[in-house]
Formats: sequence, C-alpha cells, structure tokens
Amino acid sequence: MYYEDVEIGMELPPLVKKPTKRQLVKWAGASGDFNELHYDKDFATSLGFPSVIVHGRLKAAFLGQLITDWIGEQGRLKKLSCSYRGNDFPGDEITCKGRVIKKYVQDSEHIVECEIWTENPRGEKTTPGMAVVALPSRGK
Amino acid sequence: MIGSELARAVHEVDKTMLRRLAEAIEDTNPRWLTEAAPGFVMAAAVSGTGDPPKELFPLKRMVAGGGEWEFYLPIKVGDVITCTTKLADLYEREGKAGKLLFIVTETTVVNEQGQLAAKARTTLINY
Repeated sequence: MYYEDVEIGMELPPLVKKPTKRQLVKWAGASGDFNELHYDKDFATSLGFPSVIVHGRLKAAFLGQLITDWIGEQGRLKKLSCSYRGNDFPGDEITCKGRVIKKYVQDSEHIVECEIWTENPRGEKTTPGMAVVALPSRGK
Repeated sequence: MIGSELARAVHEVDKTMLRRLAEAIEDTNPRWLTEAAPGFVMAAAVSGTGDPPKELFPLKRMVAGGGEWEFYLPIKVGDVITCTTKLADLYEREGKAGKLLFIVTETTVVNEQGQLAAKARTTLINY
C-alpha cells in the first residue's frame, strides 16, 4: 500500500471477528487483564451486565490488526485511539471497519488518517476511534 | 496525587509472549512471532494500571473507557521494556445513574537502550 494509492473516503477492507469466551480467557492470560467482568458471568451480572463482555483492549487490538492488515509491512502505525462506547458479548460478530479521512505530508512523512470503529451485529458502532499511519511513497 | 506512579513492569520480550498475544487476537500474520503486534502495547501488562490503589476507585463498578496508543519504535524479541504508568488526571461527571469518576493514566514503554518505544493514555471509569 502506497500513499498514492489512498484516496479520501476510501474504505478499509473490513475485518470480522467472533470472539468466544475461550478467546477472552486467552486474551486475559496473554495480556495480563484478569478482571472477572470478562470471564465470570456471576460477577458480570452482579454489576448489572447481562453476561461477560469483550475486553475493550481486545477490541482495540482487533482495530490494530485492521490497520496492519491494510498497510502491510512497509506502512507504520503511528497512533491508534478508541473509546469503548458499547459492550460486545462473546459469540457475537465484531466487524472492524475504517475509512480514510485525511492524507498529507508532514516532516517528509506521508501520513494517512482513518476513522475506525467496531460494529456489532445490529450495526451499532461500539468502539469508535482514529488511526494515524505513515505509508511509503512512490515518489521516493 | 496526579503524577504519582501506579505501576511499573519490566518485560523481557520473548517469542512465546508474542505468539500467545497474537493467538489471543487471532492474528495469524507470522510477523508477530518476532515483532510485537499493536495489541501487545495495548495489553494490560504493558499499558495497564497494574493493581491500582483502592482510594482511586471508591465506587462499585469499574470499566475501561478507552485508550490512545502511540507507536514510535518496533518492539522485538530480545527487547527488555520498562512500562511505567502514572496517574495523569482525575475528574468527576454526573451520569444518568449517578456520579462517574474518570481516572486517566499515562504509560511510557522504554526499551533497554533508553529509547521511548510507545506511549499510552487510557481512561478508566468508576461508578
């Protein structure tokens, strides 16, 4: 993916995930997040959640994959931010999407900014955010 | 209290750690067997708050509100990273269900050469 290939409004190839409770436990162990909200249903319901919920940081990591899949090895992810606006539940599909909103050259880097988000099966944006990447240019 | 250190973790980055992290994301790109996927920096072990002091979270429920991660240098197998998390901000808002406490933390990830590899800013909500 080169800077010249990118146009404003262009959509990123979506990335579909369907985390199971087992995957949440793997993330808990691999990432060091042992909050019971993500694997203990009794704990989750005692706090008023209908069931355990997907870790926000795992959804951020999915969005990270959305970007690195798109830009490839020559591109560089500089920044990613997101807010955990809505809960996602194990067993439900999470579709990661993005769209290019800006491109510019700054300090001789070819920068592209994207709005990114995760969508639940009802089409609601549960994790809206932004990503900034630097891409190689054919001009150099 | 703002500026106080909440957590400090030192990780010797090895292949197993990176592979387990990539497997948990279900990202099969072989690149992440030797280099940290973005999700590695997002992991609580790297940019989390450790076991934050109870006085910061006096209310019943605690959820994560969001995060912002900046990536400066690749983190690779063999790197020794020091992850230092500080309290950056504390503020209150009135929500529909009562008081909300926002706890903002900032983490720096520094490699064994003293270079800043990544930075994170995350928000926790206590309500």
